[in-house]
Amino acid sequence: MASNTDQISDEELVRRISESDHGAFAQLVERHSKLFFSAAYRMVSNPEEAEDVVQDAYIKLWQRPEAFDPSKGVKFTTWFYRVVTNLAIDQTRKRKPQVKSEVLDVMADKAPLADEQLSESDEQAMLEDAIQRLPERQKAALNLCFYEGLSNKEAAEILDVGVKALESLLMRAKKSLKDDLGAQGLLEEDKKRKTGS
Amino acid sequence: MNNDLDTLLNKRKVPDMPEGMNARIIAEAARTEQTRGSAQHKLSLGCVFTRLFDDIFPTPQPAWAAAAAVIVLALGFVIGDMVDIGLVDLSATNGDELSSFMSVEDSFSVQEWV
Repeated sequence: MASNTDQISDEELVRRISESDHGAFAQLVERHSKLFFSAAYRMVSNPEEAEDVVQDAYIKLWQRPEAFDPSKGVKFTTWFYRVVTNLAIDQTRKRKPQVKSEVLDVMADKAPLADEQLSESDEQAMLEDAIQRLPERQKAALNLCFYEGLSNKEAAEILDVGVKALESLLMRAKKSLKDDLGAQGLLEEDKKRKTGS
Repeated sequence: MNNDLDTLLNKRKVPDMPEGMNARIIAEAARTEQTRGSAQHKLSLGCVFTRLFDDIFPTPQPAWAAAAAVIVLALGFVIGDMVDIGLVDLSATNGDELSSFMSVEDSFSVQEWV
């Protein structure tokens, strides 16, 4: 049986937060933090930074709950994805030079492994690096549509682009990944195409 | 080896949420609330003092305000006149022509400053 607190909508909780209701804030945190932590992690690829992003997003909500306007017909989660995504992009911009050098190191390390049997963790690391190398908007589009399971329309709203533009971002992200991961020997179809078999 | 990109993408993992993350967020909000509360408190104190000031020095009626403005204006004329007299004592009334002051000023050259 659903508890009474589960029946309260997100929008109602935000309204209560605007009245400084700490209980409502705690409830909203408990309800969605896991979801938004995953979303933030997929953008920044670091658990501590992901936590910072989620915390910043919630604190912004606490300080300015009026920034969410349900009368515009936007769901709370869609709006909050936008806040989290933007903060995550800011976070990655702050440390971009460092990431680039790290990525180059990883690439140098992984290249000789291409023809060898890769462990699952190696494969994970290479996949993560390839995704992190994507331009931020392509990465956000991929995360929102592929991993968060949002519709193209919702993802387009979050990224503040049209649906066509979002589809283009997604297409380019997948093509870049295919090329990148294929070059590292992680995709069979790509390897077959290269060998002509 | 992965057959296609989607199969590979599905292998991507996300670590578990850090332990105590929710509690930290809620605690941080509580701390922020105190800041916000303190600002509100200061604001309300400001309002109380403004009200007290208004009680002690009530806003004058238009007639009172006009009279007060005339008094302030007259006072300004008197003070201005006194200052003006003082200036005359220092310059022209000492027998010196005003032009002598000007000539002193005119003799000023840039070289003196260099």
